[in-house]
Amino acid sequence: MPYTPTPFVAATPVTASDLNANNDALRKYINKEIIPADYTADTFVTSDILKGEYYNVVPDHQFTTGDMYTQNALVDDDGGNRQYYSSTIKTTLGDITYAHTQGQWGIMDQYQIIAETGKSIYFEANNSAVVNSNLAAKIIITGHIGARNTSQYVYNENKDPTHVGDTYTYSGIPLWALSPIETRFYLFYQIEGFTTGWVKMPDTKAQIFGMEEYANISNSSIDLNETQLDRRIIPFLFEYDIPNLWAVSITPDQKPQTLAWRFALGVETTLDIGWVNNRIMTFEVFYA
Amino acid sequence: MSIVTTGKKNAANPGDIISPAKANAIYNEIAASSAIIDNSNTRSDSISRRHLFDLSEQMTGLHPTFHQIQTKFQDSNSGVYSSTSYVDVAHGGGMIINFVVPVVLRPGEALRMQASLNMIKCTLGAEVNPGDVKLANQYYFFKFYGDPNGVSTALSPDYGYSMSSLPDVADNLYQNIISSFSDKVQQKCIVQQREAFSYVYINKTGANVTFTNVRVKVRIQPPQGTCTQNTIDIKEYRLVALGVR
Repeated sequence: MPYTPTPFVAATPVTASDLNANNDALRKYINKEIIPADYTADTFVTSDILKGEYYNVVPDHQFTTGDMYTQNALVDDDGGNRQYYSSTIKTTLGDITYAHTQGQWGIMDQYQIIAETGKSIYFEANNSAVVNSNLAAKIIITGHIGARNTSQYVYNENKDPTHVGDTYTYSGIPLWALSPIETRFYLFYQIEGFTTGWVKMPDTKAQIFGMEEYANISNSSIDLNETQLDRRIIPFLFEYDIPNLWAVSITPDQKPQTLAWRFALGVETTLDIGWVNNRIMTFEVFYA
Repeated sequence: MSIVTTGKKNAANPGDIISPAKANAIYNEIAASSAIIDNSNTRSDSISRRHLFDLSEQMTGLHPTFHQIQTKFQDSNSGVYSSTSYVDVAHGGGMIINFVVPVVLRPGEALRMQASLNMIKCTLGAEVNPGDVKLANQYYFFKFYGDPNGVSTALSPDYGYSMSSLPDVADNLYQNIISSFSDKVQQKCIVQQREAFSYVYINKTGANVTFTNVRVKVRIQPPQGTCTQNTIDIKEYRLVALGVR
């Protein structure tokens, strides 16, 4: 509330104690008592806000109102700046007799994080003097990748073993045919010390089909108009509330903290080789 | 302007009497300014994040530098759309954000909208008349809508996509080979494709504009001639809206 002086009374001597009281009240007001209501609305401009900092090594900016992190690589698909993915990273290989449901050529929720699509962010904890577990920040992630599948050497393994030699048909697509050759992308996050692994965000699902080098497929009767979707520009959009989390190991003086959050794109592929060339990821943090 | 400029000074010489009126004037001038502190009272670069209001104390979604940041998403339901005029993307609870508190955009302020959705299937209509080609009119469109001052209004342009990358040509091998980036129908497998678009609505009026919701709508291009309507299936989606100050 505004500074409120004690008025002096006319025709009465101004005493030292009265002056001191007013001066003390003024000092107190300046030091601690200014509140939002004392500010005139719509007056503070950009130059009043503390200028942001640009980290020159990585293309990140830290502003008063929030942070901007970017992770960009715009390249031609010339092989020089590709980030490869492969189903051979899968740790469960399974039974190749039913490779469309098991083995490294099947979809089994084993994801490979794509290099240079992610960020580790240490959010500032809630600035309140009150210790609580409420919101610390919000993050919006936008971006896109250019992805391309290639070198599918095991196409026939993907088929129903009872239908060897079959090709996909326009009508009556069997269920097993829908999953083995797709490549699925998701946005993932993990919280250091809080989650044990990457957490998939289901609504960010994107996928591409197919492969580039049909010549590698032996005895295949598929024609070129079956699965030409061997490359895609895939957009991503994500928004998330960052809560204050608790470091339970710190007792008794627990303080809210946000810990380290990691965001990245992950892929599950059923192909030998695919890659991501263009990578544009922007992480916007809005502090609460 | 809230800088204190006093026209009064206390007596400066020993023995002079300080008048209560002069003393009051000095302090009252300070008091008057203290109620209307503005940017003339602050140094440049003086307000840091620690000075901004703490959102966690009031869970309304309001933000000190942004009106609100809200999202709507789902990944479990899908919907089939065939309307030739704009209809809501309504499955899974609807691709709509109802603001926790209405966003009041003052003149010059803006509403930023971003949407991303997964188009999981295209179904081509039937060619009844051999002269009419089902792929001749094979576009579909998305658009941001909102309710500025309570009136449902289209906010953005159309965001158009095609079911095949080359219209007006059906079942052509050459088309299939070069259409690998966006073709959704010339496949023997169902092809899913994620699509994303964004728009910034700026309040260019001279008055406040109040929004209580924003949403995404979709329409399918009417088919050529006697062909029956093409349809699309949409599944996963996410909509993010920010009221920008």
